[in-house]
Amino acid sequence: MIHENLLPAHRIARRKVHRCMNSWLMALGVLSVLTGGSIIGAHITKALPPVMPAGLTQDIELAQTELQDIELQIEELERTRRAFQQSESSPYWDRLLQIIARKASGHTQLKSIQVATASADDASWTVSIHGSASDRQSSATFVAALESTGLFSSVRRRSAPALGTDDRTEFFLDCSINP
Amino acid sequence: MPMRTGIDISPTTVTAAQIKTGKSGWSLFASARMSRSSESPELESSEARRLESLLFRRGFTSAPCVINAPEDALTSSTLELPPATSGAPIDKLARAEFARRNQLEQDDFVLSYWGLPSNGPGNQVMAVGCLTAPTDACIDSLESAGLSVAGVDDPARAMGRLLSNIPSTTTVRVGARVESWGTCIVVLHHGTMLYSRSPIGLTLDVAPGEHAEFAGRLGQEIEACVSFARHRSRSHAPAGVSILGEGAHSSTLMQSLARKFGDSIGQPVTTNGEQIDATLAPAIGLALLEDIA
Repeated sequence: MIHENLLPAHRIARRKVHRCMNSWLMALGVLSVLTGGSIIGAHITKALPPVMPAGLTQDIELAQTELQDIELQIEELERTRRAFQQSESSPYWDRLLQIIARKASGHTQLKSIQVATASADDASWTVSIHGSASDRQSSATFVAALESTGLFSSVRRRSAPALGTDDRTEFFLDCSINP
Repeated sequence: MPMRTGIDISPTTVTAAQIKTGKSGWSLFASARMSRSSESPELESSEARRLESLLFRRGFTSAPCVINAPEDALTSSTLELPPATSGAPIDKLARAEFARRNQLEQDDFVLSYWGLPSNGPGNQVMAVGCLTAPTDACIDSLESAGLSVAGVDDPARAMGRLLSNIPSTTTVRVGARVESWGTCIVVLHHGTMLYSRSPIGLTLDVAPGEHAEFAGRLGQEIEACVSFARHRSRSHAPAGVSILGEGAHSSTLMQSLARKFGDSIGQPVTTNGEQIDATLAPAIGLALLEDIA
């Protein structure tokens, strides 16, 4: 069966043209509304590029520099704190060394003992000993006793023993401990 | 949902029905009826303006309209065409044959045709031609009043379209539109319109007391149509009968026909099964035309 509609052909053609025109006009209208809306929207919500207030960049750079300085200070303080912590946790060197000195010979007296770390990161220590002995032989015996304890990796005489004010021989030793 | 308006222009009245169509079928949205002020077969401009005003007041929405072709513009014929599988230009042949048989110029009419049930190898079709000039005049009147005409249909086929929606087990259905100006009988076989005829002198412009006698004559006409349809379709299945138009409002006529046809009488309903006013049936049938421009 061909079409059922008995509407004259020229009217069908005219209606098709009208429908096309209506569709086209509607599409044009929608397009206009969308374009207009986009333009208006762009004007309303126009985003200006962010402008940095004058001097703010410089302030930020200064603050960054200060921050770096503070970080360095914190790092140094932290290093000091670790050294103190390590020195506080070190054994009672004076007592130990006094015992060694007495056993080595009764003529050796220890005047000062200083313990210091070699560096912040390094775990090696140096025990600096200042003492006096009745003679050179006594000081040498003391050095040999220290070495024989096995506590130190090296026992080094800083300078040659010299006579003190009370006719005793003074000596300076650096004992290294490397874990 | 899409809306369509059917406008049935008869010699005495104009009936309009607006339907809403959807996936589940259709439903009646609005209806209106007015008397004609002119005796002209075509609707005059003043009538078209009155109609447009009436539709507005009755709540019709703007929708494409389908009208019935003027009676004097319609011609129908049964044609023998080559089978569709022959590859022949069937549309051109049908148009040429229709023009030759009815002595018309090929450009003067719009043709529509549909296949008829056939047991043989031939391709027999029912063709309806609608003359362009009188149809144009009618459409011009309506469009000048602001109505948009998107379709024109044969009123008998529009009636058949509505009747084919009646839920029924019958293979043959006869619909009779009974009006004061005449009667039109439509015969359907499996929903396909076999033919339509308007018996001469069978008009309901008689006194109510004579409606029983009118029913007897109408019953004979309907029986003749049923016999023809059974012969044509080689089927003796029971036939359904529907009475449309003003005649359906005559209780004497309907009781007489009920006595004659019994349960075979079934009136048109919507897709929801609601009974519809039989006088609106022709307009609804027009509104059901789907092939609109």
